[in-house]
Amino acid sequence: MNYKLCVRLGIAAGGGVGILVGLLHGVNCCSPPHQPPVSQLILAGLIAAFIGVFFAAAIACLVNHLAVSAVFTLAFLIGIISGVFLGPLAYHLPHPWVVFIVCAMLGALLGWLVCLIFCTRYRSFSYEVSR
Amino acid sequence: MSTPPICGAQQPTPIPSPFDWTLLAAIVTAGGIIGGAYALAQAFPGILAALGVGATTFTSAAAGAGAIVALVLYYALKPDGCIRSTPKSEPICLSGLVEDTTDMSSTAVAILAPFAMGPSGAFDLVVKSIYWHYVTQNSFWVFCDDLGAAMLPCLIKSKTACGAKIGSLVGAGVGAIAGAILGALAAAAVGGAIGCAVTGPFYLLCLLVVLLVAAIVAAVVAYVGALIGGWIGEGIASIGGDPVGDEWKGLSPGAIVTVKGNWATDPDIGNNELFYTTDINRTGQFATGPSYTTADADSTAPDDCPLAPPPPTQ
Repeated sequence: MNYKLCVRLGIAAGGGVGILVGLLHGVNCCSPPHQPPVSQLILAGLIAAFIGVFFAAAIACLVNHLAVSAVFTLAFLIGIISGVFLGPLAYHLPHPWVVFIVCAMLGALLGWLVCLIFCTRYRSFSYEVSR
Repeated sequence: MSTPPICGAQQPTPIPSPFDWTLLAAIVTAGGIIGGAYALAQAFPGILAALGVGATTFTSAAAGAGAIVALVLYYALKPDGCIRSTPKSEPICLSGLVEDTTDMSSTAVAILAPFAMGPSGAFDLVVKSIYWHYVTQNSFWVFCDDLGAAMLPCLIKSKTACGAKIGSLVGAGVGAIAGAILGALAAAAVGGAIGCAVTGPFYLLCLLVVLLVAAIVAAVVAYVGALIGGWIGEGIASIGGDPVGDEWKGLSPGAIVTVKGNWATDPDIGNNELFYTTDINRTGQFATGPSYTTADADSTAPDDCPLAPPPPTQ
């Protein structure tokens, strides 16, 4: 099984969450600043992750002629996990470029884990993605 | 060499996956653009304020544009002989019968993602037995035809891909600068129109919408720049002749050919291949088939390769 696609989708999801949710931290509207609830950060993370990961999935399908449904299912899974885990984290990290790099790396790790768990358990799915 | 190659997997270990420096370079580039934009926004807040743009929205727009630059850079830096040289190997000459040809060009990719154009095509060559070691030596996979004859895939370089990649890179750079400015202005306009209420439960989402507008507008402008640059590059690169490509288009199954090219191993599948083919000399046409056996290839006339290849050393 080749995990390259999963890692790249994870980077797209993690990078998207990192930069967009991380930048929300820089907007100080009020004094003292509001501490947003975790649920809102997760929701923001999910939105950012889905935008990044679906764009990457579309490019991957266009260029490599991959199975669209399988790749987008994988992208959906990676987007959910990246959004939930990285959304709250990204908000609390300083400096946009640090957040971007850290979340992109963590997204790569999460993408790799998704493939490790999902694609070894469901062989047919693995074939669809890697062919 | 008397023992025919075994088709399929050659080694018990999986193909080693080298670290992807191209991907890391793309990520660091995107991070650098984001960091640079943030530093710029912090250093000159007055200029942005005069435009009605906040440092955060400007950074978000730069991030959207930076993502597109990173995407184009990732494909442009692939080791395909355009910006980075092809994988180091050695020039070889061999001959055999063409089993099949494959057109790998894609109109959709040429139009929608010219920076990602790959080889224009390939053909599988049933090699003579004296060239078996070119198929097997240090390979992780051997392709065979339906009759079990070992084949060496020969890839044909796209004449326009290199121009498209360089053009896209330039276009993405120009588009990114324009996109960052336009994205930030669009976000400022949207932010002013919707007016996020600071105490409402959806304050954070409202801010996210503004940042998304900045990033998406910037990304779209940068992507359009990459497309236009890529199309211009394709147009420039299409001027002039392409002898290998023209010869490849004329190939059909059963063609007897002598080919030269750069001998490499595919990084994903692990098969040996010609990446790319630099010369095709068609010397005849086999009467029957496809498919073909190695004996069919051996029965053709001697080729004009300079020296008989040495036996494999393992």
